[in-house]
Amino acid sequence: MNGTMEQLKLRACGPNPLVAWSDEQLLLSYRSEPDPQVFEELVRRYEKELYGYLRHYLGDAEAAEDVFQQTFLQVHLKCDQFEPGRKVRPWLYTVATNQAIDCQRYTKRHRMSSLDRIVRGDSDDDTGVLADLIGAAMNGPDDEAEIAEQHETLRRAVDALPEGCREAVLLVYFQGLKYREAAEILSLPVGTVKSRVHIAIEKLTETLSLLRLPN
Amino acid sequence: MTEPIHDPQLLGHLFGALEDDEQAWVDARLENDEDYRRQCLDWRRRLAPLDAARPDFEPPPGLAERTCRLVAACGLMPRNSRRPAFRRMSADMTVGRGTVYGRWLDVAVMIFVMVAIGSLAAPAIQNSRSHARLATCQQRLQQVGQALTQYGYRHGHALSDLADNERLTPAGLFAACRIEEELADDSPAIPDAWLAAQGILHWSRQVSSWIAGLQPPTSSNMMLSLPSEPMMLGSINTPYNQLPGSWRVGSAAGETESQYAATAVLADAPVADLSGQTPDWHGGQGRNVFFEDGHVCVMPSSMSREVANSSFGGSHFAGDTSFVQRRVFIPVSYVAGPKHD
Repeated sequence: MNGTMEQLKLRACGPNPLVAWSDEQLLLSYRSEPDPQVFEELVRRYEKELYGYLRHYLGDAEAAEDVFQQTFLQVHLKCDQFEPGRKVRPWLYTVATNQAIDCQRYTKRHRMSSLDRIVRGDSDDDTGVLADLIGAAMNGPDDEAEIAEQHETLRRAVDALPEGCREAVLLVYFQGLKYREAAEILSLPVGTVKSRVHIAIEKLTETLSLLRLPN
Repeated sequence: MTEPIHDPQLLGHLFGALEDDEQAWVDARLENDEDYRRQCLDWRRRLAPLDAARPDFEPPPGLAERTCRLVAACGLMPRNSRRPAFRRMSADMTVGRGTVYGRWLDVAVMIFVMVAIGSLAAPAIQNSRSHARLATCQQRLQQVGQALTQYGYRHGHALSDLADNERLTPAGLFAACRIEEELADDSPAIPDAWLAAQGILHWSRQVSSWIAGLQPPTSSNMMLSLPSEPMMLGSINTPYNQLPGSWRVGSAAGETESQYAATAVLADAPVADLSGQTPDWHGGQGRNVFFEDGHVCVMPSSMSREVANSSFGGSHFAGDTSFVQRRVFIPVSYVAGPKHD
């Protein structure tokens, strides 16, 4: 597909024709002809999804934002390495996972220890407290405290999972990737990913049943 | 308590993690297998708390914009630009203006550097060539000196013999070789009048013919001539002498009677101090080359000195001060001698 011709054609269609492009079209177009608008569209598409994944993985809002930016910086630098025919999503998650691993090694911090740390900054910044992001109704301070404690326990349970199981469950359950995509990201066989997800879910459900978290 | 379900496909179905064909297989089994449906419902129940507790993180506001600005700040792509930020490599090699200018600037700088290096290296190269020629000349002169010395020790006399009763000093092969090497022409140069003024009366027939005809002998003539025949070859436009000599009290003097030459001189330098000592046909240039056991010294001038045994042309070799004092001589390029026009 000629990315340049497609770009010109769709740009003539509307104010933001890039919305109709697939992820692969965006990345291939950017690879052949770097366009800031194409790059921005790609960033926006994965803004929430990738940020959420990195929040789960790193357990810290600041680190997740840093790694998010580093991930797309690497996307820009290494877009030439993206082969046509591949899917962008697993490739992007692979880059993000590697960046997250590098971040953890660099900071040498516990992965989930700062999840509930309050990040002070602009008023629009994420406070980084898990309890504030759970959609459940908060009746009052006592309920909030209880939920926060339960979520902290959940977070610890996720953190306590074996590394392979934790990564697999983060990708499949928390991020909604397919087994095949997670297997590609983790460089594992699909059957191994299925097995690890199964083990992780069993442990987490057992932990939750003990916590008796509200539905 | 429900037994654990070990079917990962069922979990994948619930998570939406299956491929289309796998999903279709599970859907078909759920439709036909009641126990499978029961297991699926059990899993939904167990996952409910986890689904409720799963956080849904919202990215901080402006994260995408900050990310794009970060990439732009790294100089990797322009901000708010509709044009590609990078050079486009097309078949016609269309490049940006700045890139072409930079290339020409690089080429110009490279040419300048090469010219500068060449200008600096050229004198050195020329000097090295000049030094190479000088070294070659010195080496050849050393070989000449060694040959003269060896001849002298072997035959007991200098290369060109001396007539007992002649007060002449033959020049040797030097002049003949000069003619054969086309370093000097063979035109007769010794005027008869000069010869007559020198009182040269006794000549061998062969020499007379040469002198009369003013035809210089060839090197073969020299080699085949009888030792008794003096050969005068100083007629090649320059006064030439080959003086065998020896050291005397720290100085070298030419001795025509010397049988064993410890030194030898090829004298072609003009006499500097006394007029009339240099023949008219002397071109004004030349050198005296002094040999001693292969050691070669080249001196630009000579000084006449009255000695009992005069030599042809009066060009007694006395050397210059530096030679007499046996100081280190500064070698100079040996001038083969000009052709007398």
